[in-house]
This record gives sequence, C-alpha cells and structure tokens, in this order.
Amino acid sequence: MRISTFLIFFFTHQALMPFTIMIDPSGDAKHTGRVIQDTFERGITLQCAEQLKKEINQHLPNVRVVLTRVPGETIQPLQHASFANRLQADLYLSICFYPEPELPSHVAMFHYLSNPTDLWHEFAPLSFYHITQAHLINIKKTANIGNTLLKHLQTSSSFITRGLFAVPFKPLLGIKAPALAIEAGLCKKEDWKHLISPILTALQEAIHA
Amino acid sequence: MRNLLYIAICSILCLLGCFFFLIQESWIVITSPFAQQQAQQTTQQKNTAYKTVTLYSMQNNNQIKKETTEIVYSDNTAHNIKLLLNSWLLFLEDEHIIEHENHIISVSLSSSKQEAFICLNQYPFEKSWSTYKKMMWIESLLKTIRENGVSITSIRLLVQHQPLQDDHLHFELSWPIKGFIS
Repeated sequence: MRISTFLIFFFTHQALMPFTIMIDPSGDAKHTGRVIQDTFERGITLQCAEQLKKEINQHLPNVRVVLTRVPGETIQPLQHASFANRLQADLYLSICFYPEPELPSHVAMFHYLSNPTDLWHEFAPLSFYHITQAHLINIKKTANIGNTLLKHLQTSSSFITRGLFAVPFKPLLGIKAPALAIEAGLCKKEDWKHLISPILTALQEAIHA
Repeated sequence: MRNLLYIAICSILCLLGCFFFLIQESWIVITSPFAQQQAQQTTQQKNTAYKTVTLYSMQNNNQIKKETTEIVYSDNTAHNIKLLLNSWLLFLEDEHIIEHENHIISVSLSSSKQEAFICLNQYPFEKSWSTYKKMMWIESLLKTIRENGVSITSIRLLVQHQPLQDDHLHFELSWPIKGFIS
C-alpha cells in the first residue's frame, strides 16, 4: 500500500515537473562576439533568445524557459554548465550568429563530442563522470533532438542547413542535459526572426517525443 | 725583475680566465668547420629526399580542393609535419582562404611519438569566421597530415607555445587525426 502510494506520488510529481529549456545567447558584457552589420553578435543573440522565450511561453505550456544571462552580465568559464546542471535543465540551446555577406544564409548545428568514439558510450548510472565527460550522459538523446531540430530547420526557406556536427564545441562543455548549439549566418541583422518558427515546431516535437 | 715576471704571469692567467669564461657563457663559440661539413653531408645523404605530397582544402560547400607539391622529407617526423603544414598554409593563402600570413613555428612529438604539438605563429582564424569554417580549416589540416602517411594519431594546436584559445572550438583537447567529420 505504502509502496503504491509512493509510486503514484513519484510519477505524478515527475509528470507535473515542468520541462526546463535553458537558452544561452552567445556573448556577454566582456565578449562582444562577431560584428554583424553595425552591431555585435551578443545583442542579436539576446534579442533572439528573448523572442524565443516569449514564443515558447505562449505556445508550450508546462515548459519553463531560462536565459543564461541578462544584458551587462559577465560570464565566467563553465558558469553556464554549472547553472544548467544545478537547475537540472532538460534541454540546453546555445544560439550563435556570424556575418554572412552573401545570400543564401546557412545554419549549422553542433553538439559536444571530445572524441568520435564518444558516440558508442553507454550510460552507466552509478559511474562518476568528470566535467569533460558530462556530455556522455545524454549523448544519444542529444543526437536525436539535434536531428529533429535539423529536420525542422531544413523546412525554413531563409536558411540552408549544413548539418548536425559532433565536435568539441566549447560553449557546450560540461553540460549534462542534451545540449545543442545553433549557429546561423546573418546577411541582415533581423534575419534571425526566420529561425524562431522552425525552432519552436522542433521543440514541440522534441518535448512530446 | 721577479715582480715583472709575476705581473706577466698574472695577466696571462687573467686573460686565459676571461677567455674560458667567454667560451663557457657561449659568447665565443669555437667549432671545427671540417666536422660540421662532414655531419651535414652525412645527414643529407642518409635522410633527406624529395617527396610529392597532396595538400587539401575543404571548402564551405563541401568541395575538396587538392594540390600536389614537393617537399624535402627526412626521417624526422616533427620536421616533416612542419614542412608539410607550412606548404599547406601557403596553399590556403593562395586559395584566399586565409588572409594573414600564418606559419608553423615548431612541431614537437610526445614521448610515444603518437601526438604532435603544432605551434603556430598567430591565431589562425579571422574573427568573423563561423564555427563551420573553422571546423573545415582544422579538418583540412588533419586530412593533409593523414593522407600523406604521417604516422601520428592526434594533434594539439598551440599559438606561441600556449594552447590555442578559441571561443567556439575546444583546442585544449587533443584532436584525433581521423577528424570529426570523416
């Protein structure tokens, strides 16, 4: 009786727990990022992250969105990873932009891998994972969500997708949750708006999968 | 008379001391020209030969450009990598992939001879480059080493003998010679 009550409580609690998405707009007060037209990458990524948060809050109930920084804040190395791991985020999304002088614009996706053999890793729940191996915990889930996101980005007429690459992508180091980075080339600084809709649709699919 | 003799001996000994001090501090270097010539000739005859190598450049649109060139190859792997990569950097300059002049300062091998520490003179990427373009640069470098039969398994990139610091790619790690997108 007691066990069944505990299980009911446990699964109800799990079901009611909000899905947490952490969005990391690249750059901070100290790191301006790349120059896009007459502005810096850090400003555009923040605009994009705030808009994405707004859209997710509108369209996806039971999803909590957290931004890793506010304007004027300086981030220490691995601060995002520590923040995401303590918050037990369910998905981590890093957004980066670069100047692309000529059309068509491109978009590429990355997830962290320190060695190609990491993809064979099987999660061992009682093992100690060093911070440089944190990505191994959800490596398969990360690749699945990445492919979903990529599939939806391919539907965007404004961007040509380059693919999903597993490389040592530094901003995603040390994050336990499935962590992905989207890097898009912008011809005009407002072009990021075309990314919101496919990302939102992909997130809907990824959350319900 | 005896005093003069003492003064002369002291002066000679003092000069000799100064001379040995200068040799010890490498202010004066004495080498035998015959010995050096012999050593050079032996090294050249034994170890060096021209070798045709292929240089690769992976472009943004997944195209691979190739160029063959000849470099002097020896049985010194680190020196071979240095020459190969300097030719490769010149090739990238010709292709207008890199704008500023890069070159390899030095290459050292780990004790197992499996890992190469490649030291560049400056940060090799433009500030505006995408991560994808940086990735193509490093994959081209790895492919050039791999396809030319250099027997190492990984590399580490350094700039002025410090790990290469980049905002997007993690170069404190050792990069496997097989690359990440092969």
